[in-house]
Amino acid sequence: MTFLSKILREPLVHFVIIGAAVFGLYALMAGGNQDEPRDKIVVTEGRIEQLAQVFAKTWQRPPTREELRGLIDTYIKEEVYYREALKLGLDRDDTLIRRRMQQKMEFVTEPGDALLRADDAALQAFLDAHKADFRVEPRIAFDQIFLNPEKLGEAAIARAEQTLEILKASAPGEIPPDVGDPTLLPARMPLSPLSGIASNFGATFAANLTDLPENEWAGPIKSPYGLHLVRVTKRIDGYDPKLAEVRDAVEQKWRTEKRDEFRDQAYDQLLAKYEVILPSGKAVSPESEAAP
Amino acid sequence: MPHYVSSTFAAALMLVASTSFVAAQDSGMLTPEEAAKLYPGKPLYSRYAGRDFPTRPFFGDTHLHTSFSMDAGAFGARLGPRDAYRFARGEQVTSSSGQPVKLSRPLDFLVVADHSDNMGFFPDLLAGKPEVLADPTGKKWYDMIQSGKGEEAALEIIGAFSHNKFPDDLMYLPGTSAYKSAWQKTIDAAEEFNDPGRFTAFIGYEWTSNTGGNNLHRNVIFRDNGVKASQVVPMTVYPPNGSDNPEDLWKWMTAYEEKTGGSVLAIAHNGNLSNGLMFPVVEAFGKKLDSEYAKTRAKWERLYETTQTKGTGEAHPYLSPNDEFADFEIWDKGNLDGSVAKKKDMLQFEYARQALKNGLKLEQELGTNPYKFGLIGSSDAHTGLAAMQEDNFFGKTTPQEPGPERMKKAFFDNPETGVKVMDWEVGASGYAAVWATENTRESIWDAMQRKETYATTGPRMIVRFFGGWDFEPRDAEDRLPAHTGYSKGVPMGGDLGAAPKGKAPTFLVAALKDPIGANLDRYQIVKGWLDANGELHEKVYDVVWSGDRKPGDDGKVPPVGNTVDVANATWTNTIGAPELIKVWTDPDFNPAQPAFYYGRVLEIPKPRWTAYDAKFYGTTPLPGTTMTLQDRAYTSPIWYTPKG
Repeated sequence: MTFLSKILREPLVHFVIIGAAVFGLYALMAGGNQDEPRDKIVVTEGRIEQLAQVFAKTWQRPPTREELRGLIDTYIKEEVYYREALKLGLDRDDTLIRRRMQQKMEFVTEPGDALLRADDAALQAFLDAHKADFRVEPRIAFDQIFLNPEKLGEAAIARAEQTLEILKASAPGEIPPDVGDPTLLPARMPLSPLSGIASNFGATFAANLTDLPENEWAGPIKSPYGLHLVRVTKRIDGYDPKLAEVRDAVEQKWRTEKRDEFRDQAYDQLLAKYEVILPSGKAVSPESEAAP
Repeated sequence: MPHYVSSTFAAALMLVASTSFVAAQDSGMLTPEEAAKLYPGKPLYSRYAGRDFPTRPFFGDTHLHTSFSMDAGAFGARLGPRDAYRFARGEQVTSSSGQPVKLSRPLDFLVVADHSDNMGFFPDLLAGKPEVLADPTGKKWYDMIQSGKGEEAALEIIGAFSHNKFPDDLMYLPGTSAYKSAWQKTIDAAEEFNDPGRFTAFIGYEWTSNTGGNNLHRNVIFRDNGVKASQVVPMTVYPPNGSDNPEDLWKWMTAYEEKTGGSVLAIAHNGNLSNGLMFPVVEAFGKKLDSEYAKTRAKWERLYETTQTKGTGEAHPYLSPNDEFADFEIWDKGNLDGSVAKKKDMLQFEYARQALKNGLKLEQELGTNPYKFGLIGSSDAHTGLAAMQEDNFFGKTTPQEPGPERMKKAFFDNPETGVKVMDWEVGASGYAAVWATENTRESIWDAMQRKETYATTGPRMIVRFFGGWDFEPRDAEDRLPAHTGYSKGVPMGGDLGAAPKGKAPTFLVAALKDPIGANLDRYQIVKGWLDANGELHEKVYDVVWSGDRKPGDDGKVPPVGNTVDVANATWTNTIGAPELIKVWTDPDFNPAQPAFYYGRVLEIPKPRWTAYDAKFYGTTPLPGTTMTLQDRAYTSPIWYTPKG
């Protein structure tokens, strides 16, 4: 309800509310006649059961007799106000209610589960048409030694080269413990997609990894943090996956598109019932513009 | 289903056994003994083996609204929970204002937390009632669905809608989409997008207690899947089902856990708009605070959302006059709807630092510290878009999505009370960072429960904060600081335990800048403590900073400088440092005094979102508009409690 009060301060809303209140007061005074037939509010067993169910689902216990009475009274009150408000046309020209109604219609016309089930053929066709979206990125695993940039400049390059020699001389597969500077960056990066490496070490660093030899210390490579000596330990090229490998992801994307399609279709069907007239006086018929 | 391989560190994380965290969750606090169990420090030759501690933080938003929230929908939000999850995991979507938008990098997790009031819970209960099926058309459709012809039925139903032939009673036919409540749709969306190891979609909602315009809102987050969550409907505020008293929300949480065996936690936010009600010390809802209140609150509310679009609530300049960085994205004009103006004496019950201090005192009186919370940030955006980067900020509500005029309007303006907040005051903040071992609901939720979290006001800097009794300066020279941190101390959110004789607490602190963000200015430790006279104190220590700045006579390190070119909305990383590491010992420690310590990491100054807007749209900002800022991170505290 955070912004309700903001809406309530719109001058137009004021106008509508004051107008409605005056009208309502008049209606009340004029309609206080006991002889007029009274509308019925019928509270069915089903309704009471429903009220009790919502309570039980909130509190994990059925309502007491008193609480149930309270639920029913509240329901009756809501119904009275709801009906009276409708009679006064308070639902009209109310942005909040109009948008809520639109949302309800969209809810109701959303395709059910049955419509959103795809067979393999449909998914395969979708995958073929959207290859780039599902391409598996190249993945690289590497070790890295960090050199702090506080000592950048020529000395840093010399230090990097020196360190590289030490690393090259060390046993394969190991990282000598006393080389390099402390960092929160991982010293040993498991097989990770390039985008994942980029989000930790920066995009330029990740791009530079692709050309490095395997199982050999190399560098220095620059990152936003400083210099790194890097040993690529494994590299797997990117590829276009088979459907079985990415079925869930393909299905999800297919469903998303299907839903959008359906929503647009449902709207077009509704729109087709109207002749929309723009202020210029020019009629925009649904056939010429909105129909698929 | 799960695609473990593609998460950055997931291959390593797959090796990790996460069951050990359950123990920590049950006991509630992370003592050194428990930490030792969790992070065995026994030396192994290969220090890369056996690392079952979190190696990276996961970034996410625990507080995002979509069109399912009534206010968001009323303001034109068109994106629902599904769109929100797609956007958070890195896809490009079209915003409600029709603009294409994408995050610079995917988030790791998201909680869609729509307001529970007016969300719409009734349909699925109404459905299946005999009267619904009494209509012959309804019966026909129902039978079609039951016999597997759902697709045909759905087409007929839509056709009927568009020709006004839809019987009123059939609005909620079982098997149609409308049959499902908004809550069930929320759950379904989270289930569909939850992708363990790659992206976590939490089930959650916001309970929006707002009586008199005073904000006592809480977000409720489920550790569980849809099977458990759909056994309940969310707690609401409006009577007779709902209540505006947090104690009733805690009852709801208790009932949920008892019924389903599941787990939920609640995160409060915007104490700054509660007008003195968020962190009470005397009474709440007319009842004197007692040990039960303290225990219950501490049990359910382990975290506090300390920064978001409607202001940052870590500290207030009035409460912390000696903290020159306290005046950051402050909203202190009134309550949430501007109906009551702020009075200075309300502030002490609204801000996280003061609540952490008051908690120390309340623990003495009530036996439990009700305010022993960790810190996170989140967006509270009502757009379905968790876009909180200064140069990619998509606003708090749909009308505040990027546009030439968005920094010129009033967010709220109450002429009667004089409370007016401008749209430019809305902050591009923040995110929650969670030190979890795996990107799963269970692992991230457990880490939240043990408070191993920190808040950021937008950037994704990596922040470590370890406390213990034995850290030495050379631990900061270790190439694997986290390994040392977990071996010799407790992480953020933990407890120091008893003080060994003659020792003072030591802290290993480290921060790494966001790889696409600004360099770091300094890492500070904020300490709060209670003295023997019952007086509360606080002090901010500069612990490690960039360059060769020397602290002044007051002990404070001078400003880092400023490279911001506001007109062009640019800055350079020619000042500051990409990484800060240091070991710090409390110079003023008194073992008889309860205390807490938390880390605050400041970036160098950079353009605020208003500067990017002014540059992009050529808008002239209103006088007084803040155009630069130092984004920052706040860690969860580590507490010290004297044995007594």
